[in-house]
Amino acid sequence: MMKESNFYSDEFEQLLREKTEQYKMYPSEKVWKGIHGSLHTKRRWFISGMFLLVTGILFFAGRDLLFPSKAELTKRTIASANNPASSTDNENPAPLAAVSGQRHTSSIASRHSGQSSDDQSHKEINIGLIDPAVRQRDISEMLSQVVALPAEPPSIPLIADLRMPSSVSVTEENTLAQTPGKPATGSAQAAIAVADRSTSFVSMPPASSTTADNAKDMAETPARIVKNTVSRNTLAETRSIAEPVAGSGSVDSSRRASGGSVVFTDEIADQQRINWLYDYAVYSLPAAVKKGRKYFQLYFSPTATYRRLSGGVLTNKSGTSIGNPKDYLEHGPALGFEVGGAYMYRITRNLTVKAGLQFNYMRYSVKGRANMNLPYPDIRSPYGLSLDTASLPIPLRRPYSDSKQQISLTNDIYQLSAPIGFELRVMGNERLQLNVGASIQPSYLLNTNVYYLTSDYGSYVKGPSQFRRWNLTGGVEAFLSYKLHNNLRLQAGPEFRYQLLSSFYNSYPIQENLKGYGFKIGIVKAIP
Amino acid sequence: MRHKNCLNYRATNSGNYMTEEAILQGCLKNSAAAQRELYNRYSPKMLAVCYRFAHNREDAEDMLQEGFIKVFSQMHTFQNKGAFEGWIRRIIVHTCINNLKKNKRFNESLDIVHANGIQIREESVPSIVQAKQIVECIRILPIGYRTVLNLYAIEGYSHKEIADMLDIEESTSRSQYTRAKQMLEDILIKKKILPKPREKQTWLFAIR
Repeated sequence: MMKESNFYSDEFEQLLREKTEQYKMYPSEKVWKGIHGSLHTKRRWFISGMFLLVTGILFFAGRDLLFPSKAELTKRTIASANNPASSTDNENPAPLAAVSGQRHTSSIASRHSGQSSDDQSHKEINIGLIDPAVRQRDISEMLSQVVALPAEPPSIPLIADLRMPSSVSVTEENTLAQTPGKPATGSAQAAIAVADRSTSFVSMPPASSTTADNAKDMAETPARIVKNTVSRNTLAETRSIAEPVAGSGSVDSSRRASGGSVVFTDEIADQQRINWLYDYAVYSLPAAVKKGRKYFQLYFSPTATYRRLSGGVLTNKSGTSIGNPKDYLEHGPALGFEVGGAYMYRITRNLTVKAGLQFNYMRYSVKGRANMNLPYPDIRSPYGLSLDTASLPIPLRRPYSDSKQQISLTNDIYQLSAPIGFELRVMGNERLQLNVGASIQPSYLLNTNVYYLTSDYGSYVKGPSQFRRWNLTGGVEAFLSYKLHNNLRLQAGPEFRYQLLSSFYNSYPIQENLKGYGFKIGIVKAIP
Repeated sequence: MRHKNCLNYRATNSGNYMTEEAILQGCLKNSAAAQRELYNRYSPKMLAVCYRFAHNREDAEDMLQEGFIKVFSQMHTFQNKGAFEGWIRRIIVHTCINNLKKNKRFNESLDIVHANGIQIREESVPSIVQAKQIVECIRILPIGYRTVLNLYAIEGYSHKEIADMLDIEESTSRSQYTRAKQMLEDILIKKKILPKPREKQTWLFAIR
């Protein structure tokens, strides 16, 4: 009994072991998702962090460039006016500076008072540009050359400060009275900056009575100063001269103009006539707008993605053709989008190169009919295991069913890419242009939990093991570019992207190349 | 429209040892593809193990997920002593036990009281004689009985090891197993999965 009991007990346990070993259960996909997510958390955090960083950079950069705040604008102008070093920069000339509140680093009076005319063979004056619209490097370089003024008479009035708070004697004879705090009025205002002796200057050519009309012309033109940007030394101050008194006629050295005016002696009248063209170029001719070479672009593009399939086993084991996969499956596009930004550099007038970051959301749909009679697929994993068909709740393949049931799957693909390319202006003028562009886009696949087709085109499986993370995409585009205002352009036009490498590893028998069509809308702003 | 996916995998290649080695090396390098291969290969069996311990399928999948995370995290501790499947199985079983203890589903006294009042409903047990029937019969048992039965009769742990794992006395483990086996035998006999032991004895006497 005991032996039988023990034997039966051992048999019982053996039976339990055998039967439980035979029993298998297949987990849902949710389990693997949880495992994969836990194991590769760093990658998700990295991707999320990069995405937030890129989005944040694009957002804040776009906001600051496209819509700078008034405080920022004011700050920039004041900063450039207070900082002579920056104002002497050739690449970034000082913008229009608020004259009020400017600091005097040197005074003409001190310079004049401390020196006799004999000591100083020429007067040096630095003329600073106050209107950014008229800055011009060529004129700046021209003005950087020191032009000697005759030593006598010292009473040549050159400068009147109408806006500076502190009063500074302009000349020894003080032919020009300064009106501190008085804003420059009239259209003809020329601001003259007096710099230190160490800077090189360009003097204002003296005017004679015969040049009163010239002075009047000068008064009528918009006030502008060509800044001497050769010297890097600090700019002492900026002063402005009021328009010359109308009907001044003959001007002598002792003349004092109310509100300030430029007085020229008769002795230099001839020189003034000779240099009228120079004066015109300096004071009247508007300087050409300096074009920058750097731009920033923000764009958005709704897209439709298709796929091109190749490879795969299209014959069964006996070699019989099993038909065209198009008869069993239909691939349709689905709407997605791409958004990104790019930094652009204009090489020539028509050619611009660019590089940036872009986020792509691509989708495509798959539809199939259920009455297919296909053999088992032969998919080899990278580790040599043969994978059976993935059995979906509504499988694509039912060899013995006459069901006409339609099955629909949608794949969502998230991708981060870095487009590097160029834009070429084909035709058009400054306002409206037709451009073409091309780019190469190294891309990184953010999600791999998508469906992919079995090698016999008969079923779909889901998982990351076959997908290539890094890929390369080429893009071409054509667009119209319209200039909205000075530094802003609007771009719109179609684009086409094609994935150059297959979505799957080379070991996978099927190759999939995604292609997308979109309409890109973008804004380009010049970077000052 | 998205569909849930169930995967059936069948290893048909020869040279599985080398393949397993490659999987192991890949997992050590934190390769997602290798991890997926390993999971696909062993998850069906391991889920069945978890199912015998768990209250329901959802709990079983949670145990499986937690267990495989431990497997991949502790892959570097596998020293190639013994079968890889056995090593995974031990981790899975320990995970199941820890899960039961954490969720307070394992209570000796409660289970004993509960076991006495258990009523077996024939309609809850499948009629076909398959492994699934036996597993389902095992799952009918109270959690305490079931756990000890699984650990001793199926997983091969000793009563001392079971006592250490479950924080009980060794004698308690022995007594629980005896009761569990008796109860399971009754269930299987009632379902005609097992012949009655007395009938066997009568037949043996009849032969003599």
